[in-house]
Amino acid sequence: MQIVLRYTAPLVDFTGKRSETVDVPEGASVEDVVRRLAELYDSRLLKVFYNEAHEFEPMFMVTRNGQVTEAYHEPLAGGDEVALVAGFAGG
Amino acid sequence: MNYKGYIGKILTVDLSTGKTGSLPLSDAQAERFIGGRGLAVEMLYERLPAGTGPFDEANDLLILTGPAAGTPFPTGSRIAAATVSPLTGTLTTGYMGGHFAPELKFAGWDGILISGRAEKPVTLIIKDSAVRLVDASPLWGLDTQETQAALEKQLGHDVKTMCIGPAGENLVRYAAIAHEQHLVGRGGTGAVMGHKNLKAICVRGTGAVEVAAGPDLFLSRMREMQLTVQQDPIALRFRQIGTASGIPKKNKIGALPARNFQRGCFDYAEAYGGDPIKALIQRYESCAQCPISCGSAIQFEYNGETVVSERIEHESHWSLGPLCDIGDLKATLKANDTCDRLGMDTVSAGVSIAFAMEAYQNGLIGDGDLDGLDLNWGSAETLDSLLGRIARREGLGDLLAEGVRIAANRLGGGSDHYAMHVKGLEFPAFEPRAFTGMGLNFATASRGADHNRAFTIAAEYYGILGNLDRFEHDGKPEMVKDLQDFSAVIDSIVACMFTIDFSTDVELFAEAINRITGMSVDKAEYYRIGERINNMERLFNLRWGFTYKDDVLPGRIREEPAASAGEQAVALDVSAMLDRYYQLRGWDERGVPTPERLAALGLEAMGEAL
Repeated sequence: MQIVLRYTAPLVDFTGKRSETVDVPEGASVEDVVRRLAELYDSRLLKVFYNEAHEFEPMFMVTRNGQVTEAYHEPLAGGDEVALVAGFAGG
Repeated sequence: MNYKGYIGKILTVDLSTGKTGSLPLSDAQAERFIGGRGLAVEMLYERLPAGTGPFDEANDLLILTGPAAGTPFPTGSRIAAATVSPLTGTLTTGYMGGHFAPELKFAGWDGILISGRAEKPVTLIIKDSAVRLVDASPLWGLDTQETQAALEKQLGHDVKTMCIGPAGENLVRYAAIAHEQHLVGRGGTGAVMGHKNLKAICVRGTGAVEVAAGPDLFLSRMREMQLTVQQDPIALRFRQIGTASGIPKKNKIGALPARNFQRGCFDYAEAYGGDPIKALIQRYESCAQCPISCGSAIQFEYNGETVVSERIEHESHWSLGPLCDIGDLKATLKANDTCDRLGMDTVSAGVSIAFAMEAYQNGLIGDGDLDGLDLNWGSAETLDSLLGRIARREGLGDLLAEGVRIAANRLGGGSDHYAMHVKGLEFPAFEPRAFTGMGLNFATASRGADHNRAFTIAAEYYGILGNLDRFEHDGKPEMVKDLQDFSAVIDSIVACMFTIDFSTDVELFAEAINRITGMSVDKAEYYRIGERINNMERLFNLRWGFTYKDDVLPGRIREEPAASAGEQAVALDVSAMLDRYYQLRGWDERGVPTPERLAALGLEAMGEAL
């Protein structure tokens, strides 16, 4: 299925894009999508999504279809829009 | 003036004589410095005798727009205020949003140069080319909201007002200038306005702004830019949650300064995140031509009073909360409102209070000095009362109104070790020992510890760009210099620094400048302008007696390992980074711009004056 990903700084700089559509297996979760991104780009990406105990703990705020979510292991639906929003914007 | 976007003239107001006039704004000034911050340093460097003090009659106060004010360029309609700072003695330029800048442009002015000093309180009223000074005695003593309400009642809703509150009137060194719910918070511009006996500036404009690009092309491109900003997920975060959500994140990594930077963790961090505040929002508000709409009004009950105020943001939330170990959210919200009404920088106020709490713990402030205050860590009930005393310079408030640098000098007893400032400007909410690039920025930014001069935090926190590590020094001088030059032009357009979080690249800003003005700024020229502005500010400081010895962090940062940073708890010595930074800047080992670098930036004449 296809998931629309939207990025904010510094992921815009990291990926070179503000958004893109990625192909993931049916029933993929947010965590699965992130792991797919790490395959597409660079495994360094994983360090901002996993803590020292290797648990999925994003350093970004995650939204699904415009709503903040922490249901990182819930299956997404095809066409869902997932945004990875920097937590250190502003000051 | 051949460039569009500009009017081509600055209103001059001599408060000593009451005379008004105008100064031309030249093509060369626009090309080299754009407006806002850049124009401020160029004008004040030329006009002020070296060493002019903030409260000398020779000190000017500049209110400046940029070329985008009054156009649909997103976030480009902010206003800058610049002067010699009563807090630092450097040049300070601060900014705020709202609707003043476009109105001033529509009135036919790129800015206002205020010189001299009125004998009695006055209000400056500008209606297009009609300018007058009127007696402001009935307004003297009113807070910033009361003042604006009174002037709106008198002059009408269409008039835009900026004003000072009691803090500015009483020359609190970090007094602010207010407009709507916004403030030029840092650096004490409000105190200079108060010293000049200028209570308020009101403007109404009925003109327009011309742009260089044809209307169809211009408007369609501006619409695209507006949509890009509006649809960025960050915009939603700013609007709904605000910037306070950064507090729990920093706490998790032990990088939330608490107890005057003694600690990196705060017990009530989750209660100080964005969600508890989101629940209080009554409505959203926007600055002119800004699709982010990050402003909002909140309502809450505090000690039997219903308080309606601007939603608190990260810096204020921290300085009036975790920094003082205060975990009473409502007390922090009330204190933020109090600072806004009194017209005072929340950051400097909070850091001064935290300093006082530590000085009290160390016996440098005694019980006899408190007059009923409680200066123990976490004493929420003290906040509002102490802020009032600072604004009125009563008792202990008179000492804290001077800022931590002067307060530490007066108290002695080694308190300078924990007076958290650089060049007199109190630290904002970022721990240099946990973000070394920010530490270097604090040491080198021309007006002191200003996080907005180079917002390194996102890059350092995430560390996925260029293998940056927030504790290491590699790559930081390069990053800080680039961000400082990038930000200098944003400040000169007088756009919002939040645009950095939208990955708004240089090309977009350059395009906006070109479409508005008719200039041909490319990426290289953009950075050259930014570098020129940073070098001018360096020259200003050198002329005012600052040296490389002022590019230093406080003793606590240099000598104490950061608490709660785990295995990497180290103190921060910026010396090695500083050497590299000076090299990148083209400055000598004493941080003085070389003749070669000044010549490359077209600043030879300024260097000769030095």
